[in-house]
Amino acid sequence: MTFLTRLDDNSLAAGAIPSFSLSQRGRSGLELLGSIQKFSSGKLRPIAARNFEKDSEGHALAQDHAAASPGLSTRERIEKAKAVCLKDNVYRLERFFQRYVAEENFNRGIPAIEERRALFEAFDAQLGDEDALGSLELADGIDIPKYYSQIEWHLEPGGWDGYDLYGALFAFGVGPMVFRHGGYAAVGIGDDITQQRLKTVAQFPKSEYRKIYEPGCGGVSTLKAVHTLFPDAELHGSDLSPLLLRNGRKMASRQGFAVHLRQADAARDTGEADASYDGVITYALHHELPPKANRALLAEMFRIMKPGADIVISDPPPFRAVDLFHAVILDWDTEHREEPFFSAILHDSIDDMLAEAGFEAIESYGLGQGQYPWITRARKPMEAAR
Amino acid sequence: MTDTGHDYLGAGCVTDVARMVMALASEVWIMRDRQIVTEYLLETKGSITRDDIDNFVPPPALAEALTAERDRFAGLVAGAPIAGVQRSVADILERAGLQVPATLRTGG
Repeated sequence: MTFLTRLDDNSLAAGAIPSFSLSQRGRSGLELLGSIQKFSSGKLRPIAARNFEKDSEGHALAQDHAAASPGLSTRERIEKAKAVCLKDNVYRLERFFQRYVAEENFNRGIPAIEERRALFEAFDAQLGDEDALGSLELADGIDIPKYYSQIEWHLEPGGWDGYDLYGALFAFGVGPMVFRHGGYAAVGIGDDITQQRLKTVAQFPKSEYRKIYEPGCGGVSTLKAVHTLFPDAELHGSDLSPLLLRNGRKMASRQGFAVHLRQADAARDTGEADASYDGVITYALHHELPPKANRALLAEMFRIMKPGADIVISDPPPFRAVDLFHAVILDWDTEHREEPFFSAILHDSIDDMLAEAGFEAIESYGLGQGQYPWITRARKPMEAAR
Repeated sequence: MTDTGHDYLGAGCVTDVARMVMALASEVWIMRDRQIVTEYLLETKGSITRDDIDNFVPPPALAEALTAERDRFAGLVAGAPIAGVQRSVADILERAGLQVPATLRTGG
C-alpha cells in the first residue's frame, strides 16, 4: 500500500495530497490509536523487557540466546521465553494494545474514509488513467497463489483488495496518524517507515543505476524512495494486487515520476527478459511469502538481473540478530497480526537463499534500533550465464 | 467477601471488557478533541457551524497542543494498570502532563 507518514512533508509535489480533511471524528479517532501505540511501545514495552530480564528463567534464556553455542534451539528458546513473558501483566497489556490498534486501524479507519468517499473519488478522478505517467499492465486470469488469496494481511478485511479506498486509508489516515509513530511489528518506536525506505535504498553500492526492479512493489512507496535517490533510474515493479498497482501508478504520477508496473506473481514469472535489470530491491516482502516462494522469487530475480547487478533486501531481522525479548515480540506477529510466514523467514536465512540462487558478495546487517531495517545485499556474478 | 451474585462474564472475558473500555475511552477522546476544536474556533471565529468543526484541520500550534493532550489521555487510560505501582512523585507528575522538577528526575 502507499504509505505516507507525514502529510506536511515538503518533498511531496503540489496536489499529491487532498486539500480536504477527514471528519473531526475520523481524524481524532485515528489519532488516538497513534497515541495508544506510542504509549504501548514506548512506555509499556520497555517495562515488560526489564521484567523479562529480571525474571531468573528469562535471564537464563536470554544468556543462552546470546551464547555462541546455545543449548536450546531457537524455536524452543522463544517458546520458553514466551511463557515467561505471559506471566507478566505488563507484557500482556502491551500485546493487547498492539492487537487492539491493529484491529481498530480498520474498524475506525474504514468508516473515517468512507464518510469522505465522494471527496476521495473526486480527488482520484482529477488524474485520469490516460494522463498517468509510466505504464500499467494488468493480467487477465492471473493464477493467484493460495497462500496469498486466503490471508487478510495485517488484519486487513478482505485482504489487499478488500476495499476500494484502502489506498486513501493508508496514505491519508492510518499512515500519517498511526504508523508515523512507529512501534509496531519490527518498526522501532519513533521510527518513520518513509525514512527507513530511503536508508534502505541508500544501501545500493553504486552511484548510478539505469533500470531497477521491485517485486511486490505494492503502492510504490519504495519506488518513490528509489526515485528520490536515483532520479534518473527507470523504475519497474510488479505485484499480485490490481488495486495496489492502480493506486501506485497514480501516486507516482501525482508526485511527478514514472513507474512501469505489471501484475505478476514474481515468485513464478515476472514476464521480464533475462539479464535486463541493473538493480533489484525488495522491501518488507519476504516475511509475507512461504519459504518455497521466497526461494523461487530469488531465482527469478537472479534470472532478470544483468551480470554484476545488485540486489538490496530489507525485511525484519532474523531471530539470531536480536535479543530474546525482541524475538518474542517479533514472533508474536505470526499468530496475532495475520502474518503466517513471519516467523518462518526469521528462522531462515536470506543470505543462504541468495547463495543457493547463485549470488555472491552477500552481506547482512541492521540499520536501526532493534536491527531494523535488516539489510541483506548481494551481487549477481559477472561471469554468470545470462 | 460480599457475595455480589452470579459471575456472568467470568475471568476469560477480561479481554472483551478491555475492548469495551477502550471503545468507551475512544468516544471520550473524540468528544474531548471536539470540545478543544470548538473552543478554538469560537475563540478565533466567534460564530461557527457544525461543518466548520467537521472539516477543521488544526493549525500547527493547535495540532501540537492536541497531540500533547491526546498523549496524556492515552497514557492515563492505557497506563492505568501501572499507575498502581509506579507511584513516585515524578511518575505522578509525568502522568498529569506536568514538568518534573530537575531535583526529582531519576534519569531512568
